[in-house]
Amino acid sequence: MEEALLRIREVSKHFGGVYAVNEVNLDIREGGIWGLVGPNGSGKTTLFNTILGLYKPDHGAIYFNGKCISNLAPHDIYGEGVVNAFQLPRLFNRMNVLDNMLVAARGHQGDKCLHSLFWRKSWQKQEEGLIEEALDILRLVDLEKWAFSLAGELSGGQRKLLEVGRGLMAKPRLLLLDEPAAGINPVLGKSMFQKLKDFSCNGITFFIVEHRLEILFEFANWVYVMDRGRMVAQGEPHDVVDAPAFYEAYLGEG
Amino acid sequence: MLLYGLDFLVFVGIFGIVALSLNLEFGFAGLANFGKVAFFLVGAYTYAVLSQIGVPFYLCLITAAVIAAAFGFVISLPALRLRADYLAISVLAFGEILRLLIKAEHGIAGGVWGITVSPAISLAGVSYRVDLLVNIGLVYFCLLICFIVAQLLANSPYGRVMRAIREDEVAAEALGKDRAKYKAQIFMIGSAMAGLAGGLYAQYLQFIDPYMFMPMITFTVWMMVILGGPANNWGALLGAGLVEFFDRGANLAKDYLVLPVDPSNLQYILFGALIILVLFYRPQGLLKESPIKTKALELVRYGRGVVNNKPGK
Amino acid sequence: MVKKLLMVIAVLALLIPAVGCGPGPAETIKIGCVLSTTGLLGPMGEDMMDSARLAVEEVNAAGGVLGKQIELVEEDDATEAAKCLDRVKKLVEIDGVKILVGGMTSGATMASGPYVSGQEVLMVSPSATSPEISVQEWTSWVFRTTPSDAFQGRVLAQVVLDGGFTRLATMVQDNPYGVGLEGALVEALEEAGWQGEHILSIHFDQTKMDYRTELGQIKDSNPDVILAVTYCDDGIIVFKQALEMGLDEIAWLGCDGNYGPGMFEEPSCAEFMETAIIAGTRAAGPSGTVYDEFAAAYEAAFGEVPSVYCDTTYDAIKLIAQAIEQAGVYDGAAVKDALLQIGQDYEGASGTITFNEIGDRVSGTFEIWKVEKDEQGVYHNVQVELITV
Repeated sequence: MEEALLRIREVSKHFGGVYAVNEVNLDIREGGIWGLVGPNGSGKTTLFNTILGLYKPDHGAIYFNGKCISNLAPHDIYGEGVVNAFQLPRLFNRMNVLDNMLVAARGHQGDKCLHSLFWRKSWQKQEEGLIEEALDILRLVDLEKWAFSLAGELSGGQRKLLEVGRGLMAKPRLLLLDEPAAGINPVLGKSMFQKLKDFSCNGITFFIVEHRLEILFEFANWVYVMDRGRMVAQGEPHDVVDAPAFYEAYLGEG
Repeated sequence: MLLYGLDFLVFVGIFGIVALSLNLEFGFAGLANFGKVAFFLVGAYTYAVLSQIGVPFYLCLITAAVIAAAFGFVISLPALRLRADYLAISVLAFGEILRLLIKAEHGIAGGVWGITVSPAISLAGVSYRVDLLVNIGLVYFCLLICFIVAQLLANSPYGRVMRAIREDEVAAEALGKDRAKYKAQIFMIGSAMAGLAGGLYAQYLQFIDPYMFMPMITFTVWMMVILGGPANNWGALLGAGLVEFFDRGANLAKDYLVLPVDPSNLQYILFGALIILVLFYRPQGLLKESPIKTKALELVRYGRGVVNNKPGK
Repeated sequence: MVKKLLMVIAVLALLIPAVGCGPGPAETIKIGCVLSTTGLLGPMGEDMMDSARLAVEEVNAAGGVLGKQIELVEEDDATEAAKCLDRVKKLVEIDGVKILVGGMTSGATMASGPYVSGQEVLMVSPSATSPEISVQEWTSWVFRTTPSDAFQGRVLAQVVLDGGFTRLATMVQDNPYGVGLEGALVEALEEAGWQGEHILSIHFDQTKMDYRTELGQIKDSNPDVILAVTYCDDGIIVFKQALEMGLDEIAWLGCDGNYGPGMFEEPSCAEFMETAIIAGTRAAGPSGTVYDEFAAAYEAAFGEVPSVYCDTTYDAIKLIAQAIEQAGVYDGAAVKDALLQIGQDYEGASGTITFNEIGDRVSGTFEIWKVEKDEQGVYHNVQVELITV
């Protein structure tokens, strides 16, 4: 059995005595779509933020591709190949959609100070290529027509799509998606997941938080269930649905 | 009258550079630098001290910029980790501390007495007008360089990262941009420009003392950027021109117009009113934020006519 | 919206130069005056400007100069050196002024010096005391009706030597005036071979409202004589608090900055000055009658007594007027030469004025003053002795 791409071992994160994430263990192996479900406040977003490096785990460690990433800065974690799409989209509002996408690009030579002043030719070609890629992804999420509109002018659903698109643009090995289909009509949501499945065949592993269980169950290989900061159940979707812990988590909460 | 107009142009040029630097830091990268005068002061005093020991003017100017950049780097280490308002206060305090240090230390830089500076280029026996024109040439040459640098940075992927940091630095960080590094770089470049402008200022006035670098200068430069339009380099220059124009114009006006207020206060009232008007009716400034223009983007947008710019929704 | 705004700006832009072009009526002789009527030294500058106006009025009442009336072209530099230079340029280039009174601070004068010399414009400063001015290449175009602090320093040094004091503390304003006078005193003492020690030097911020920290330091250092270089406002606070802290047991030295009835408005300050100040120095004329006349006229016109540097400003205007008359022509260089000629043993409100070849006031008759209370309980500055340096 090959080593898991993402390994979370005994990770806890508390805020002033309240444990948002409590001794969580999980493994994500490379390939496919992995789900994370649980009622509101169960710690899913906090867990994501900890993986991402926005929080340091108070206890435990996170390994990605064999390397411990618990103490890395977020931009370094991005460098390792972990990218995130936030639940509430964090777009660059006064920049246009295409520019938002281009910021996510990996290894753009033009990002460097000296290169933008002196060796401009060296990255112009790269920029053209990246623009093509960005437009391709935008086409995928139906935002191509708005490439030159300001991100701040998009509707709520469009903002989510752009957030996801940006994540794809970053060419991650592991993409964390926090409720990507929220606020999007079900038909579009389903088609988006279909496209994500296609992407996963191209080598991106997805770890998705999603409330609309029916979508997740159609596409996910494995699902983790969290409740009040703890991992309470896991398994293939149809197994998890039957697990008592799952019911308790969702229905017990009321 | 002409001479006064030329003098006006020199000041617009010098403060245009400072406005460009603040525009880079605040307009593009969102860094609220309320201590701009500190780096202006460092540049001016570096130039003054070096010129006194006979260093040629171009080296003095370059060193002034470099030393100011060094100070910019040093202050960025603690300050840029702070939230915007704390950054503002700490840089402001830094500027005042530097100024008071120089005032107290009579040995190095003249202390309260100030320090005389020889002009950069002094041609023997020329008229005052020619001297002014030479200064205009020097200042505007430097301004051109700074403008080109600012435009190149803004119209590039680097400019994209700057704006991303301004819009949401956490998201930018999560997308792989080391925000501490970028902020430090931008602060250094901005400080270098301000230092260069300080050197030009010192050699033009031929005398500087600590009382010439009060925090009011920082606020005047802020006015220039806000009025002209943040994140637009042309706007920064326009702002510099307008603010300097109103400053002098208000003083000239008192001789010819019957004013309802004390003329010495007119300038401040005018500026206050201007800021309020701009913030209420046109908060983006006179010139809108300039979009990022790289060759590749231009190609895609207009060359192949790929997308038409429909407003969202 | 932008278009409208730009239109408004364009109109304003056209308005000002259009209205402003061209020199004024040629029937007046213009004397420029750049003082700080706003800003840190605003109150002092206002009073000095009043003195200038008084002097102009008197000259005009007596028939003016070269058959014409004098026009005082006033400008304010807001206590900023760079602004002073700008105002001077405006006066010269737009108003056609060739002679002016200014700058108020040493910094303002240093900033304006190169320009006025380049333009051959005569500038007379009533209050710039920095010795730096004397060593600049443009210094002959800048005259000063205020004596250099070096002289006052010598007078003060004499007091210290005569009194046999050995432990000197100084509490001076942190600006060219305070630091300069302190330096002059110390230098004069060293030259005279003083055996004592300058045990404590305090440079204080003149805008503070409380000096107990500084006064506490002085108390701790245990001096036997203290020099206080202040203006009126800060001086009142310093002396009042010194009295509260029991520092009136020690001998204090005053200077021209804290001379004047303005100090007596605060009773505890006056009381302190009467007991503690053994001597203060001030430039003064042999009989002081010109000063008394000036002070009376000033009080009559403005309702208060003149403050520091009002007399030197008054003298500057009067001297300039006389120099223009002497030169016979409104020209910077000619008036400069005339000023040098007439400025020899000139009896002014601020004492006997003699200029040296670079325009510094070298004379001096200085007075030693004390504060005394008369039978009605009113405090006065009283002249104790006259010293010619």
